[in-house]
Amino acid sequence: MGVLILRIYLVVLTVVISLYAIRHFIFSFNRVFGEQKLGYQDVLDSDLPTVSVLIPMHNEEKVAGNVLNALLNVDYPHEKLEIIPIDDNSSDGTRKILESYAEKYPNLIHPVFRDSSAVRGKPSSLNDAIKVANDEIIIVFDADYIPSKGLVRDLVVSFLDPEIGAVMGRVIPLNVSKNFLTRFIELERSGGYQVDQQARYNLGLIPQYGGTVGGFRRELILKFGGFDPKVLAEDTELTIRTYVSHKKVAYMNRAECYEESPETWDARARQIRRWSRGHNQVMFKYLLPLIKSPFLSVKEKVDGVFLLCIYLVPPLILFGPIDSIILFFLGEIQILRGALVFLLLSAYTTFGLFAPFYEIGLGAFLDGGTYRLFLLPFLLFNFFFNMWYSSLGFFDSILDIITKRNPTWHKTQRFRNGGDLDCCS
Amino acid sequence: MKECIVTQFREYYNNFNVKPGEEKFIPYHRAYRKLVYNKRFFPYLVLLIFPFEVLILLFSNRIILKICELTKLTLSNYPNALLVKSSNFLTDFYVLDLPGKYPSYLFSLVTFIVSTIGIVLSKFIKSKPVKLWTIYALLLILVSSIFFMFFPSKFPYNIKTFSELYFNTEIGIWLFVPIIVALSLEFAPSHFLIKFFIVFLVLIYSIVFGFFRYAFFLYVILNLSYLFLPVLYFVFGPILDFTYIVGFFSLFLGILSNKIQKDKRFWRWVY
Repeated sequence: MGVLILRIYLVVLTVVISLYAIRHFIFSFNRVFGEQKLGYQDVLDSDLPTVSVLIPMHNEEKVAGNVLNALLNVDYPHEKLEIIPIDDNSSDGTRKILESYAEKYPNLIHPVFRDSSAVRGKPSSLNDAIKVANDEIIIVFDADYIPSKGLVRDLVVSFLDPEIGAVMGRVIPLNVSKNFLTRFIELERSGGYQVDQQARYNLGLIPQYGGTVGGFRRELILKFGGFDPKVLAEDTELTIRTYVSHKKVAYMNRAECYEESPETWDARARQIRRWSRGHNQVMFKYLLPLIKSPFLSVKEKVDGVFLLCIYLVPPLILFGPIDSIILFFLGEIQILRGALVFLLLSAYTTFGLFAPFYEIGLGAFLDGGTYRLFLLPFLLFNFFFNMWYSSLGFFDSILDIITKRNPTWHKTQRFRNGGDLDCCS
Repeated sequence: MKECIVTQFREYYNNFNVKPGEEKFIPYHRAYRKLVYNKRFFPYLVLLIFPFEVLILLFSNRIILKICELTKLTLSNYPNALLVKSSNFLTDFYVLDLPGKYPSYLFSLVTFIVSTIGIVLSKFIKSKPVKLWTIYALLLILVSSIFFMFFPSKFPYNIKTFSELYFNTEIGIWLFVPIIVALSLEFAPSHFLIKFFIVFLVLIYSIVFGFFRYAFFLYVILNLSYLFLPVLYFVFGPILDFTYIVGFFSLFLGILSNKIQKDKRFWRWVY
């Protein structure tokens, strides 16, 4: 009986992996050869909506000045723009920096200061800022991002389409050449945005709002009652809620924004674990509402299920080798069937956890990458790493449900030295 | 004045290492550029996969026999090595059979202690991916050593059954190689024959690599015992095969990308 369960598990795992593999092939094919759906950046309208740009910050003195300087430089009409940096109880010099900018630009920069009595974390910070924001559209940047001059406009014009509830731009790592890790992250970003997100947008599926370099309608989030402070992936939550509320997410591949990638494996591990935990929280909460929603087409529902379950795959795969090893010691894997199952597992290993190697390679190829393509085989190292920390995030989310605990928000470590940055104007 | 502007343009392009004659092509922005679709994509895909699949199905038993014969030559210290018949649902094939080495209780105990110390010490490895790989390999050795300490007679493999498992896996790899390599290469804007040659090359590499790895596995099993068989299979097994598949693909795509980035024949914009 035990052996039968172990075998069934491997078969189920193979089916799941195969479905994701087919999905990634379709995405790659569409992105490389299909007709590309343009964003709204070419729309010309003198009557642009008013915008509040929110920047959640917790101990961001190394990067706060850079993002504010970049935002002061954007070409969006200043009378329709409001910048709201949110200081989430920082203990470093962030508060001072924000106060000095607010003093210098009183009509433009309106910081929100949260003290230790407030619930910490990005969702709570955004909720507080949304309450004081007066504008129709909310755009969010993380503190380490450097928006280019036309970016806010490029994102905001999407909302001229009444169907659009949220918009997402493209994230480009700024510190690519720092080390191997940052180069790997850049490759993964290429696959994720250049191919995966754009293909989902082309195919009328569900491009994901990523929580930064993106925005949403204020009325939409107010209708939802704000972000759930217990959910660590407020971006995924907003994506699904947007679709369940009969709105869409627009993906703007042309709206590029630079970010600082984590430069140490520790920082990356914490980031992945938090993403996985938050994403799985949303999966448990919204899988059924998504499937039941009358506002999504069948293909949107199918893609939504794939999207919500993406961080379920790492723990499933983690149990795969354990399962295979038990079968190995029981002498049950010597049949060809078992070997093939393990092969599929290995294939997926090489394919990567969230995108196969060719999808990542094609993303970098379309981006104009050359020598960095030679790094693709080394992504195998990332596989175990991503699998392990994503799985830990999954178990965290299970514990969240069982214990009903409040998750603590761990912000990503910054590596910039705090100086001026003149890179992306 | 006009000449001055042209010179300035030339200098501008020269800064980007653009060769003479390429100045007219301003590359499309990466956001919506795409490649030219070849209507023969799917027929070529079939042509890249099908012949190799047929070859493997027809000749895998002979390839395995050759690998076993060559491996036998490397095991000249083991005159009792025999070629014995085996089969799977695809074909009959011959594998090596000879008495392997079981670990003594003391050897298993020492291995258990060493692997435990190794796992503890691995926390000092700075690179997390390397640390995770090391712990994974050491855990396999640890589990195996415990198994041999308490249930040595229940170990389900000998060299013959392990060889069967190994070659069943190899057949699977050989069948998968053309599919995976062709699927990934077919996206690239390159000549069919080049892709065909690369699939062929990867398959040959896979077979040669399969021989060296088999010989190495048997060497370890015969000299260090069955205790290391799980770690060999699960760490140096099929996972490694897919690494070189990606390696060939990345090498090809990197070289191709260098060549065609500024060649407008290959690129399209939006449609």
